[in-house]
Amino acid sequence: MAVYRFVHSADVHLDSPLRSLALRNQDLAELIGNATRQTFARTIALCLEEQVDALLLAGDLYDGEQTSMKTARFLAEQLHRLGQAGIETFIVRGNHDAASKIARELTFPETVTVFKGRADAVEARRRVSGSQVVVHGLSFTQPQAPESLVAKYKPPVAGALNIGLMHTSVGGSDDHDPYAPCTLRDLQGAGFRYWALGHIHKRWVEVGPCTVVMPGIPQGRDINEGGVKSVSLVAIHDDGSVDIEERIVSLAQFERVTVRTDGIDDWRDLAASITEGLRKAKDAVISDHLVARLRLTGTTPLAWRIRRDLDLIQGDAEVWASMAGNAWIEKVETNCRPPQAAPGPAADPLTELARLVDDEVLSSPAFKAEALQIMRELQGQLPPELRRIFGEDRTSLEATVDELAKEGAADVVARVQGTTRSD
Amino acid sequence: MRLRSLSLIRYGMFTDQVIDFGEKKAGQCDLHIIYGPNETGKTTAVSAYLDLLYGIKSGRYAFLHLESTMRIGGALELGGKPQEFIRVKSASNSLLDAHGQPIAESAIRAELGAIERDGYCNMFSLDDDTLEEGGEDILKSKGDLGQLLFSASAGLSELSQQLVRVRGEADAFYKFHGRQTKLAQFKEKLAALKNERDAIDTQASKYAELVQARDRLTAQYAAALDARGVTQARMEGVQRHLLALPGLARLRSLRDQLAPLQSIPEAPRAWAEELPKLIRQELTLDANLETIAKRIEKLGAGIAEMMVDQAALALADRMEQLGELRARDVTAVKDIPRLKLELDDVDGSVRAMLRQVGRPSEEDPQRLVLEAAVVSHLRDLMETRSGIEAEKQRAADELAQAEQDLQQAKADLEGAGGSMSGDDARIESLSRAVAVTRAVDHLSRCRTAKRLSTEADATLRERLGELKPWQGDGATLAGMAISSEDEIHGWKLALANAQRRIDQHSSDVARITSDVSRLTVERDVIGGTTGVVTDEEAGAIRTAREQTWAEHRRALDVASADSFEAALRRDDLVVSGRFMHATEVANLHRTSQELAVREEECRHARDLLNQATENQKALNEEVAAAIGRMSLPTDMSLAQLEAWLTRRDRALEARRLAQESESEFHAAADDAELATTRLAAAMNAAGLVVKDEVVLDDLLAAADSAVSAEATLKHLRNKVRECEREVKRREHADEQAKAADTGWTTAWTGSCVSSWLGEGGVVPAPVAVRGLLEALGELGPALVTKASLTRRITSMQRDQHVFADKVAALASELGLTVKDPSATAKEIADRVKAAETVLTLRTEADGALAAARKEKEDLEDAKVILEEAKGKMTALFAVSTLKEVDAKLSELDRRADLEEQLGQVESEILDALRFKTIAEAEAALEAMDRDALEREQIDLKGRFDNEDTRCRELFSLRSNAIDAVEAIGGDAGVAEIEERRRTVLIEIEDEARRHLRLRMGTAAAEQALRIYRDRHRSSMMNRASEAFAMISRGAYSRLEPQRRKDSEVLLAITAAGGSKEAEQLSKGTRFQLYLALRVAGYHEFVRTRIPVPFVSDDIMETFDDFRAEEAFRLFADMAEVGQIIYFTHHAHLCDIAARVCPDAQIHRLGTLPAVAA
Repeated sequence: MAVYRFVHSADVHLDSPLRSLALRNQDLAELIGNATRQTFARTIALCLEEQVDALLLAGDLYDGEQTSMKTARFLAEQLHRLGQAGIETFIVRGNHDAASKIARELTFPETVTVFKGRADAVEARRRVSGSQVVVHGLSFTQPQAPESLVAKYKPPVAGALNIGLMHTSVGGSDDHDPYAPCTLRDLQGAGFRYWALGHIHKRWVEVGPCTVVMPGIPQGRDINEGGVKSVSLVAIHDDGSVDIEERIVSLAQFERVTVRTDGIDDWRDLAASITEGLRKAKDAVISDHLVARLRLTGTTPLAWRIRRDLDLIQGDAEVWASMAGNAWIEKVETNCRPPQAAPGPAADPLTELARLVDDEVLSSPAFKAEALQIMRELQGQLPPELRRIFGEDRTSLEATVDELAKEGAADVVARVQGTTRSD
Repeated sequence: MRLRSLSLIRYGMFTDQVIDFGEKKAGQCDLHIIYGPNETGKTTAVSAYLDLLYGIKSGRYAFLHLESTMRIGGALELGGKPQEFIRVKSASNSLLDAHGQPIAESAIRAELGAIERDGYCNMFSLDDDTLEEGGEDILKSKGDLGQLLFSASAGLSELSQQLVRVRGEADAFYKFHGRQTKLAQFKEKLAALKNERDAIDTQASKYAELVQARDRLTAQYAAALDARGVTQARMEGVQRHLLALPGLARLRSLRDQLAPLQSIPEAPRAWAEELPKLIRQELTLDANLETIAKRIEKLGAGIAEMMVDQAALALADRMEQLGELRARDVTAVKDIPRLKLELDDVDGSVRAMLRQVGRPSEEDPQRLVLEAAVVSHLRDLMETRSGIEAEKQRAADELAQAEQDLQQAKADLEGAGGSMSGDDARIESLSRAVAVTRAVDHLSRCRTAKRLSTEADATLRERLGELKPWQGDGATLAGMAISSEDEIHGWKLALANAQRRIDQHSSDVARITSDVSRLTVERDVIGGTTGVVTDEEAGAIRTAREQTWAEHRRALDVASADSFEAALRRDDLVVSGRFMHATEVANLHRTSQELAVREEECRHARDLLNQATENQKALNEEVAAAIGRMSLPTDMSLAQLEAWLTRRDRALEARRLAQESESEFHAAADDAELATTRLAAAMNAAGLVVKDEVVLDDLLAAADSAVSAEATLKHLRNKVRECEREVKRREHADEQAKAADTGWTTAWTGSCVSSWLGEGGVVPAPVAVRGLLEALGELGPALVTKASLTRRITSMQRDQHVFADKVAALASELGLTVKDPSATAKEIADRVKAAETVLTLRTEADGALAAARKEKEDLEDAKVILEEAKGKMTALFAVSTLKEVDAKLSELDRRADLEEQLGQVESEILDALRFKTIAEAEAALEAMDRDALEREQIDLKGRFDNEDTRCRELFSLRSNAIDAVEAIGGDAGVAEIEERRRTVLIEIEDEARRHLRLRMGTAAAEQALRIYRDRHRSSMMNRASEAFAMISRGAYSRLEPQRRKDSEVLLAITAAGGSKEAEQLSKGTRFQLYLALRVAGYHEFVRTRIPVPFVSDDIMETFDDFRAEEAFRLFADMAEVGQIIYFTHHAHLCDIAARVCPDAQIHRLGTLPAVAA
């Protein structure tokens, strides 16, 4: 064989729970519960099916606070399956699993290489056309790595196929703090044929003389990790060419489904638009399941009613989803606005009331104080894990209060209109 | 905005219905009562109005007209100008202008501002339910002024309930000091999940402890095992020593027993086995040799006595061959006489049969037997004979009958005057023509039409006569230009109006005139009182005084002084008089003023009366002119005109009927003529002569008889043709019957001639042949039987001769004479059998002798071998018999056994003591102390037991530790719980945010309501207060706000000055309060905005007439600033409304004018 083939994944976050209100549905919880595990098991199955030479895991196999040995045992069992099939596994630790206790206690099969805190270059068992395949790696030993690690890696082995394995945020990302920051140029200058990276949960591929791949998280865990998630199936030929295939192993796909309501003034038309939006989203999903967060936006005379009857809309959407199959509604949100009232004297008392709330009440210090008091009262009663959800400091707390009060006032005004008797 | 008219073109149950609200007249209130009984579509009309403004909602009111064809028209006053709109059902461009062109929604919406349909419904419509809910809400609001004012303005009836509900929802999640909150339940759930997790999870740290424990126990277990092993080894050593001690004694005893056996020579091992065999063999051989010698001797003597008959033996084979012949001979002797008797019987029967067929002397009876085929053929022919003869006779009879029928039919046809050459087709088309003509009764149709036409003409003349004095014919009448019903209706209304106004003003004039007269009299009476001077007179006197004073100043003479004095006195007199009669003066003053006012009013009333009269006159003239234009007397009243127009309609209807009858008569006559012509043509074509002038009925009769005559002839012709066909058919059948008879005769003759039956040239009749065949049937079998018997007798006699010859030959060989071959044969056979028996015995004895001799030789050989073996053994031990040898061998066995025991004891001792040589071991054993060893053994046993227990315990602990490590599976149990816990946390977060939103939202809304209250209190409270006093008919005098902590509530003040809070008001009063607030709300809206129509739907169902009156007063009040439309199905409410507000317009649903085309 004149090709070295491997599966490259990262940020598996094994046994890290999905975070979605949709899991309140017991059926769904049973279907996509433990999605990270099932996804990892699928990754292993992919390796076995494709009979690859190796599995490369670029950090964050599990979360640091993960302390259950069951997780570690599961990981060991899965890697053992690979070992039995003669497939090697190369692992570097990332910021999350740097200090993981469970890894220390675990014995991996011989086919698994876990890189230590000092850079190392390990020769793979299989050669390509007689040449060595060398995997370079360096694990995080601390949850932080403010400096670039590229320079610490060993130089490439001459005449061999050199593959680098690293956990890094590269140039830094909006969603992640800088971890082992480095530049694309640094990586390309290291002299490796392929850089198998991890850390950023969004897929990213740079093809070239030195191909750099960030495979992304293989299974999104909440709406902020929405969209298609995958692992990479890589083949490096002895002529140096690289083939990368994106393989979907995820069980569920989180998607925000936005439905525009502009110009809709009939409830039935609204229902049709929602169904259409969901259908399109469902058709586009590649994973087994769609978990959708529905957002209604736009300017419509139905704005107040939408806000008031959001639970009915969610109910309808769920009915649609259950009929469509493998689709689930996490939540329905609205920021629809009614058409702008003419300036001048309030068109009707409701508009006047809404304006009073917006213009005079919400901004008044007295109200702000009252709202903050309401929040503080509840905050003290929440479970410890949730005490900080409204903000870490006074500024962020106040911002949350403003937002909640504004939304709440709109909710209440919408509810007050609930009594409208449209003949 | 104002609704000028609403056209229900196609909507709900309505088709082309218009509600015309007309123009708003200045100074009048804009109140409209729309009256319609139940089910006349009041609600539909309200909905249509809203649909006109906002677009037609789907799925409703499409029960008569398809949704796609629904159409509402209407005129709206926008910016004070009326504008026509049409609303259709369409996804876009549903609003059209008067020309049907799409127009932007903003054309209407601009004036409505941001008020949506729902808002409109809330703010500007009112019904029973809303009123009731509004009353309830007042209770829920606990009189909160802000909420009351706001909900009244916005038309919301459930504001407070909603706010209470929202707070309830928020509290359900969390409430200060609340226990059964959702949050508490969630926390319990979290705790339960944590417990569940702890129960199944193993943390990494715990895992490390488990592994450590496992390894420690493994090491301890190994150490314990070692210790136990050492103890056990020592125990076993002591045990062995103790066991070895008795061995020493046994060792020595064995050595003593061995010593005397050492000198016996060693013998081969096999001897032990061989020796018993040899002893047994020796005895057997000697006994057998003796027995065999005696048997040989006895056999030799027997053989010498046996003699064999060789001559008889030589005949054995031939005697055997003779056996079958002997058996046949025996059978023949028995059967031959019986067979001969049977043969005689058969011969007799044959002869009888020959006689029966008339051939007693027939040489060859076999010749007479006929072949089966011939017999069968003859029988077939005999069976068919009778049928053929009958058929021949029947065919001849039927032919004769058919010929007779034919002659009769021909005679009938000639008798009817016809011939066979008639034409059927010719008459068929005539027949059709008759049928077609008969299908319509033209003549009676003509007569009926004529009668109707005459009657209609008479009616028309009569109706025209009723129109006098107008004169003219129908055409003129129809062409007349007449006034429309609308016009007349308009005139009637206008005239009635004018008359009412005249009446009203006349009565005003009369009333005011009488007031003037009364006041004039009053004034005059007061003026007539002494000293009372009117203001005018007093003024004139004062003016006169001032003039005389001026003249006096100028002249300053006596005359002027006197004149001034007189004027002065007079003035003084008047002044003092007025002063004295101050009350009268004041009265006079007031009366004068009032009089002036009344006179002015009187003038005004007269003017109005004049105007009204003028108006009436103008109207009358207009009407007269219109009537004149119709060439009618101008003094005709409107009622007369309407009556005349009705009569005209009837005349026109009569005219239409006359015209229709006449045209029907002409049409009938035309049709009859056409039918006559067609029928005549058909008759001509059929060759019938038709006269020129004929009546249709005669023509039809002639045609009918022609058709009927022709039908009779056609029938007779058909009959002749049918008879001819029958004769032909019968002739054919007759021929066939004759042919069959001839065929049969030929076949019969042929069959007879082919056999002996036809011999002599005579063919016998079938009856004769039937008898012969029966007789011949038995002859064949009798002849067969006879032949068979003859053959069997001959064969038996031949066999008897052969047997006798062969017996004679055998007898001569043995020298016997033959008397009876059968007896001789038996004698020979007996001799042969005896010879054979002797021979067998002799052969057997020879064989036995030879065998005995051989056996004897074998025994002698065995004896030699035995002696040789015996010799070897006796020589070794130097003995003579085998028994002695046996004793020696037993001693040798015992020696070997002792040696083996010795070796065993030695090796046991060596094993136990672990020495190399037995000598050392013996020495050691002799030195051993048995008691000391036994004591040590007891000590060791105790130690071993302790160590063994410890081993077992450690083994168990170690196994548990290994199991504990292994028990940590890779299952997803913990992850699942973790995920559930995460979901609960997300739920809590979601609910917490919702809770905060609702609480903060409620707080914000409440604050906003307070601001709203402060802004609108002053303008709304007065209005609401007045309205409430009015609708409560003075039971409450007013409404008042009152401050309470951070809120402000509404109090109702009773007529007696007491105050009641919202909760204390009765249900009915709360309705009234809500209504009063809504009235205030409408006024508040109108204060800053262009008014829009307010629609109310029968809210006064439960009101008594007085309250209804007050309610209408409130509406009338509102109707001064906006358009108020009130729907009801109570006729009495219309009257009340008209009484309270004379300007109110009553519209009746169901009798509305149609939309102009």
